[in-house]
Amino acid sequence: MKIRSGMEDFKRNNGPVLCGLNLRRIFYRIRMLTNVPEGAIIRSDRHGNYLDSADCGSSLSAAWNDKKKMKAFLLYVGRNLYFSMREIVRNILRSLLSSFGIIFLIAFLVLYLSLRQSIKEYIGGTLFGTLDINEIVVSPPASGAGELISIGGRTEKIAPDRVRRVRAIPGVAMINSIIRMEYPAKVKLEMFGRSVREYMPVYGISPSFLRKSEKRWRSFVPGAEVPVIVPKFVLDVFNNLAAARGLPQLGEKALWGFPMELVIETAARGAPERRKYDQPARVFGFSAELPLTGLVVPSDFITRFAAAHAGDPGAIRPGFSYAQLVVTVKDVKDLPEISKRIKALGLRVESQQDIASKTNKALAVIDGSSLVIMGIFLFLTVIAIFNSYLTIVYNRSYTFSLQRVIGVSKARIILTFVFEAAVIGALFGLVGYYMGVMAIGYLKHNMPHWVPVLKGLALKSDTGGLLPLAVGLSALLSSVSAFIPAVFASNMNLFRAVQK
Amino acid sequence: MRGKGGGKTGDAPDLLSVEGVSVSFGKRKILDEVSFTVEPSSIVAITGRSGAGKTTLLGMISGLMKPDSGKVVYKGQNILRWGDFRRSRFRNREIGFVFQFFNLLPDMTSYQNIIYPAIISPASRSLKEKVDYLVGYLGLEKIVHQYPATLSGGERQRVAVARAIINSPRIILADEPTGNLDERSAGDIITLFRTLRDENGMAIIIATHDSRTVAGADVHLNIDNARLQRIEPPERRKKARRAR
Ligand SMILES: Nc1ncnc2c1ncn2[C@@H]1O[C@H](COP(=O)(O)OP(=O)(O)OP(=O)(O)O)[C@@H](O)[C@H]1O
Ligand SMILES: [Mg+2]
Repeated sequence: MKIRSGMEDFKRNNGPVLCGLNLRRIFYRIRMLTNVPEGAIIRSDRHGNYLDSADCGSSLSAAWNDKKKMKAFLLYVGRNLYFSMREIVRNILRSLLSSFGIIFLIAFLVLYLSLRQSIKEYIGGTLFGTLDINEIVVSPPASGAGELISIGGRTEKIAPDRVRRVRAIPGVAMINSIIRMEYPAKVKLEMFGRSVREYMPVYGISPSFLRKSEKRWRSFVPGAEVPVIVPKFVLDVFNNLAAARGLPQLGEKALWGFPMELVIETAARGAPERRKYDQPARVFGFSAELPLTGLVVPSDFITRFAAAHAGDPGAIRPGFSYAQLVVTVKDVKDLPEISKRIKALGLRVESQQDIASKTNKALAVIDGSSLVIMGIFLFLTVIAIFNSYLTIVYNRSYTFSLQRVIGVSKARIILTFVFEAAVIGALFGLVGYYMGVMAIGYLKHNMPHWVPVLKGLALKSDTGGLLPLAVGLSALLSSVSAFIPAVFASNMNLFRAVQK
Repeated sequence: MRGKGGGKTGDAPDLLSVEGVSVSFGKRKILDEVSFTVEPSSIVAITGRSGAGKTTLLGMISGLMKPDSGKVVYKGQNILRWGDFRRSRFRNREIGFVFQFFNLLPDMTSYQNIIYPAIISPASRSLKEKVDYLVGYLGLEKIVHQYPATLSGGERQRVAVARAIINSPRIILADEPTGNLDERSAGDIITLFRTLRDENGMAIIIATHDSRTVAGADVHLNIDNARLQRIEPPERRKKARRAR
């Protein structure tokens, strides 16, 4: 057997020279590269007049058409990817154990970010969050208003004389009030062929106050149906009730324009003589903005009703109370002064600044504790990954040395190793993300039981953009931890390889 | 850059020259001012006691190790001054390695071992045909999809040679390539080296203890006490070479 060189061909010919090389030889070389004749494992003749691709690569490739080049390149990338993937699969068990921490880290991160986002949105979405800068929220002295989660279900009220005195403060432009009907009222509606009756608080808000979000909400027209706004709280409560009775959940769409009746009793619940009035009503809209635990109607409906039935036997008096006032000041400059005067009346005051600072304080607590936990996770994870990759490097030292011998550059060994770590990291990031999402789902179900005040908090499992973040971060973490071991790997030398 | 070497014509140029290379580990001097040149299409045997520094010298030539002083000049350029990337590419394309212990990657089949140096650089095209050709040439058809652990020593060494020449290098560095082979397999490998020398103009540098390998070489270098001497071949071999 004999390797035929075929070099005789161009020994005879010395054509034009390019990059110090013979062009004919270059084309001969291309021919060999493209369709390898039997003897073509050679690149030089026996006198050392060789062809070389290194610096004339560009002229060489110019002769190839782009398609072929592309194909060769893809093949190259594919082959290399294949070998990388082989290594990953081969080492996945080893890296699995040590990179395990990443899963928890990412799961926690996902949970934390979505919790934080939900809380922020929740606060931003409530009445307080949308407060204008010239507005002050005035709450009864002992109420929890302003403590993020608000007045729903509380019985504290602002006395009518206080309201009058607030109105009398100079510089006050307007007062919008949230009033609460004092008469017990039942909501009566037909659902899936069943009649549902449920006591429910009824609040009144002047339509002009909701002008921003509910443009078409109108004042009450006597004799017509009352347009009802259902706060998100109430919808949730309602759905809980429905679930308890084995009824399907109702979405906003299904309830839109839903007819109902308000059965209002003018005397206290236990009173011997009670008059009942049926008032037709209709679901007009929904609001995530109002942190109220009852239905919302135009306040003039309540005031008119109270005026009309003040004389009923055993009627509760007054028929409504003030739950909260939103004071608009003429000039923002006066806001601190007006706040002070309202406070002097024994009322609680919140303005945008207060709320912002409170929100930030709450978030800071969440952030602080989360960061500490994540920091510990991070530290442990990085140490674990680092350690395991170091072990992997030493276990694979033979391979790395041989790669060096065969001509793999240091940079490439590092890159490949880091790439492997990144892939594994991304994988774990994915797992961590879904664990986080599962945790959110779990919390969503159980949070209202653990922390009832957070009932209205809409935890989102899909906080958009979080998946790429989780995967990316995890990949980054993993590759950064693998970097130093990779440098070790790249410094393996010939002796390690051959003395085995 | 390479043009300088590539354009060199006239009398046979040196493919590689080692110029005044000294290496010591700690206080021990392993190589002291070692100089020699390697011509294309030649077999150079390097002998020396165990621990004399043969493997170390091969490490210098391939750019895997740096000497304390001296130059390794390939085609007019000192490879020791190249960066790692360029040296790696040089090793990949211009040099093939063969070792005493074969040093195949155990988790790759023979085929994958052979193809491995070629996939490092995207320049290799029609790789499959090339590998198939080499496999046929070296008689490895039957074992090409076996893992190294299941091969005999001779087969492993042939796979290693295939891997060494897949990129058509100009130099083969062989570190006791016959040290672990029976006489016949050893003879096969030496014959193969000769063929590569004669038909492909490769320079083959062999670190060896084997007198038969030395006898088949064109140049015999011996390392003794960190110094390198050229040992002139017996007269008849010189004649035989001239006559060729
Ligand atoms: N990285 C190193 N650090 C310290 N000493 C080293 C190192 N590498 C090699 N040596 C020493 O250099 C000397 C030469 O080693 P080398 O492997 O080159 O010898 P050799 O001629 O190939 O021997 P053998 O024939 O046994 O393979 C040895 O004594 C060895 O211990
Ligand atoms: Mg040795």
